[in-house]
Parts: sequence; structure tokens; C-alpha cells
Amino acid sequence: MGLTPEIFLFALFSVVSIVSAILVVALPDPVKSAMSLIVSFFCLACLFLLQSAELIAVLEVLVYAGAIMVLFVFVIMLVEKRDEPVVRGTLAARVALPVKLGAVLVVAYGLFSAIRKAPLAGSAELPEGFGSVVSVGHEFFDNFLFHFEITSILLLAGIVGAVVVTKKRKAS
Amino acid sequence: MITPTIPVEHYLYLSVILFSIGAAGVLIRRNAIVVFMCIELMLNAANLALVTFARHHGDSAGHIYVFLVMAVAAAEVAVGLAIIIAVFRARNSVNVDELQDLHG
Repeated sequence: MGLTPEIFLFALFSVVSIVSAILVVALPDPVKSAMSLIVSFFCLACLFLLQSAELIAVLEVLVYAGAIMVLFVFVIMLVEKRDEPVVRGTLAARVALPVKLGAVLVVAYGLFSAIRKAPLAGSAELPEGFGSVVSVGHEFFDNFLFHFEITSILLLAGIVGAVVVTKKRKAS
Repeated sequence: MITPTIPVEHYLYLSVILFSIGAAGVLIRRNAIVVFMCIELMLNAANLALVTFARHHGDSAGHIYVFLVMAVAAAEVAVGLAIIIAVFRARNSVNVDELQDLHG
């Protein structure tokens, strides 16, 4: 199998998304973390497109890279004032990092071996118009109507909750 | 559209890698906002797995789940960032190590 455009795009976007995800964790400045998170979301949207999930790819850019990250950057602007303190040189702090990374690696190894054992051979044929607005919309309103309505209540609760939590309380 | 030919496993491995990076960030970083961003990264890794399985089975129900995850993430970010702002007002800090007691 030669280097088809699809393999090239998959390799490009997966490498860029992994690198920018590592930068989110590694960069000390939260604004730079937010910017590399946007790059990661954009690469994920392209990977969704490669799997013919057009609507989800558009929503990823609109909702995540657009709305959610703007909210993040605003809050960083409101809150940020100094860098994180350097990790103290106590024994506990020095032990904590390898322990945390080890725990994450154990989980990752478990997931990797589960994927290797999973019966994943032979993907199904994709139906006509798979992932388009029309097909996802039909799926939504035919089979998931209740979930759609509940989502609107959830978002309303989110709006009200955000306003209530940030409201300044009267001095008692 | 390009017909997908890349094996499903590759996307799932990528999803695991992104999830692990996000989990490591949640554990390692002490800035509450960055911890939140790492949670978003983990949610997106799960989204990638859902889209991959939707393609694998040729069933667009997976896309519905991704949509629902996005809605939950949006509500969660709105409330979570509001809490971070409220905590910052009360304590003048967003370091999760300094937030150890329950009373305001």
C-alpha cells in the first residue's frame, strides 16, 4: 500500500494533534495552552472529516474551537495573574510525578491491549450520505428525539447555573 | 468524500494517546483552567473513538453521541468556568493545591 492522500492526511493530522496535545500540558502559559488546544481541535475536526463525519467536523470547529475556547481565553484574561509555583522539592512532590505518569501509562497500556484483542476486522459499508446533515438529522429526530429535548434543558440549566454562580452576592 | 480505508485500530490508538495525554495533564498541572482544558482534551479523545465506531459499524448513532457529548461539554465549561471565577474572587488563586477546605 503506497502513500495515498488519505494515509498522508491521517499521519499529518494525528502527529500534529498529538504534538499540540502535549504542548497543552507542557506549556507554562495558559494562553499558549489554549492556542495549542485549538490546533488540536482543528486537527481532530480534519480527522472526523477523513471518517466522513462532515456535520460533526463542522460542529467541532464551531462549538469547540469557536465558542468553548473563546470562553476559556476570556476567563484566562479575567483570572490570570501569576505563574504556577514551581513544584516544591519535598520527597512527596518528587515521588508524585512518576507515580502519576505510571498510573496513566498503566491505563493506556490496558486500553491498547483491549484494542489489540477487540474483533475489529471488516468495517461495514457506509450508507449513502453517511455523516451528512440530512442523515444525522434523520437519525436524531427519528430515534433520539427525547435526548434532543433533554439537551435543551441541560443547556438551559448550564446558562442559569453560570449566571447564578458568578453573580456577586450581597454582603451579609 | 474520500472513502475511509485506514484501519479502525489506528484511530482508536490515536484516541487512547490523546486521552492519556489529557489524563496526565489533569494529574500533573495545578492551574484549574489548564486542568479544565485537559478534561476537554479527554472528552475529544472519546469523541474520536465514537466517530470511529460510527464509521466502523456504518451507523450514525455514534454521531448523535458525539453531539450529546459536545452539548454536555459546553454546559460543563460554562458552569465550571463560572465556578473558577467565583473561586478566584473568594481566594484570589486558581491553584488546585491551595483549595483544600470546603468553607468559603
